[in-house]
Amino acid sequence: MQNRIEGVGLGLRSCHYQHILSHKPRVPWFEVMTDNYMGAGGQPHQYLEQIRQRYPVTFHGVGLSLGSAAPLNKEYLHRLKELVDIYQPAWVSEHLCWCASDEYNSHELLPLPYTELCARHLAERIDQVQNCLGQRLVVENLSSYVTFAESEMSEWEFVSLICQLADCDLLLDVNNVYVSATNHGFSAADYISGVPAKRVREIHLAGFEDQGDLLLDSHSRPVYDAVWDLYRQALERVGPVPTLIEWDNDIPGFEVLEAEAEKARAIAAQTAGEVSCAG
Amino acid sequence: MLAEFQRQFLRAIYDGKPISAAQLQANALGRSAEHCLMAYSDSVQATLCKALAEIYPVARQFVGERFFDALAMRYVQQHPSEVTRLDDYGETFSDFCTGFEPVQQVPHLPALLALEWAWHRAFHSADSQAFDFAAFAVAAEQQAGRLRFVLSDQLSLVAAGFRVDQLWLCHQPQWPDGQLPDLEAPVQLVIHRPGREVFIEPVDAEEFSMLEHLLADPGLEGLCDLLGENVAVLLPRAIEHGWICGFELENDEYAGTDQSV
Ligand SMILES: [Fe+2]
Repeated sequence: MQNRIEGVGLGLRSCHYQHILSHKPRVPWFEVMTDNYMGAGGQPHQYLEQIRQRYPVTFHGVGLSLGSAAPLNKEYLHRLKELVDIYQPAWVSEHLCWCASDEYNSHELLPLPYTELCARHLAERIDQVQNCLGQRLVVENLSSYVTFAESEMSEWEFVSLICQLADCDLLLDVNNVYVSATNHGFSAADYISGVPAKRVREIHLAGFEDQGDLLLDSHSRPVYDAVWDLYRQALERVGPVPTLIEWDNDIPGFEVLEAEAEKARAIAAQTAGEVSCAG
Repeated sequence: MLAEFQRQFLRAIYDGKPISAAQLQANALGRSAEHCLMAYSDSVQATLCKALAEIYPVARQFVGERFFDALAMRYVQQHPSEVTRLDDYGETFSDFCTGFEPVQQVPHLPALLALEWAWHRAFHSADSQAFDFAAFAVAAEQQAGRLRFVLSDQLSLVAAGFRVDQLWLCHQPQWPDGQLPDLEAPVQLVIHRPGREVFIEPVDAEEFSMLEHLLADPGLEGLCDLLGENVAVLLPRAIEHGWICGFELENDEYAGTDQSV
């Protein structure tokens, strides 16, 4: 199975299975939401098998709850390992968040206070996952709607510390940086300058919803202009990193996603040209 | 400390309870900390309502989006998620609706929800194994007393006082335009997925009670006592349909599917 991840990929969504299989679009890779394939069998796996035969894939999860106080969900982790063995993704990514307490699950990506204690807790659990999967995990920065007075450092310092402690890679979600920077009043440019550039394995782009007094990470719209600008800055800092267009709500036709990917490709080509001329 | 913070945070999201284990701050756009937290409550509710809409698409079509979404929201508010996978959320939605006053206007709804839950389970379950007839013949002759059947992991039974299968079917794209479903008559259904497609099959009373019995007691001898001579007809039929997918010997690792022998 080929596994070269480069250029601008798309998130694989079930409403596009038929289109992908019948039209075989020229998409360099797909990012697979692992949580959609935790089930033991059936059609989702039949489609994924066919798509995997034709395209490289990466895995992206939302349910591992890396930041929970409760022990890691062993059953979930083992199923993830099974899926990794079957589909052999180029890498596996998860969020620097928590989803569940010992009572309830929010199915939401929730933030932690940016403290050394929390960073160590996350790093320890990332290490457990890396040991189980036998590979480096790629962790993604969140968009968040709350901050805590208990935080001891900036979000990018928190993210950098975790990457260093766990020796893991980073999925830099540029839209999330923009959403959190706007909501919490920090500089998105400082964030981009502050992340460990060499660890950035992938970039995410998506659209948010503007509620006036809060930006919501809705993944329901085209990428905003301000986020395209930040993407340019990110590429200048980290170099030509594979990029993914995410769209999870009000999912449009496949051609709309392809057009967004084309925009990203043009920006990446332009940035690479400028960087090489300057160099 | 972290555990207590997380417990309080989720209780705040689900039940609006206050958080004392951490101090939340107002955002930079002038929204208060409480309102920022509500963004999470809204998002969690929307996620769970969307999950129910995806698991119960026919019921949503049947009662209309507005009624269904209001019902789903009421259920979500009273049932915080305790499951790891979103696919597992909403198993008790049918029971909830049975006891919920406004649903009395649509008495067919709870059975339709039960049928859709069974369909959803079958859709995501493990693929069936082929039954190993040769190994079964040997085991049945030599160790009948220890023989236990393994039912297909995806199999569910639904009984209703009306043709809930017809109600489900008339919301599918292949149903002829303008034709009304005939719902008169009780029905007993087996829902399972022998291959790629989920099957909703009406069965007779004898088949239904055989499967009910097997779900509670999968032993061969008990089944023979229940069915008498009919076991010779009904058992092969259950295997042929894929309702029974294997067998095992009590106190033994051995199981008669083609993967394990
Ligand atoms: Fe993302």
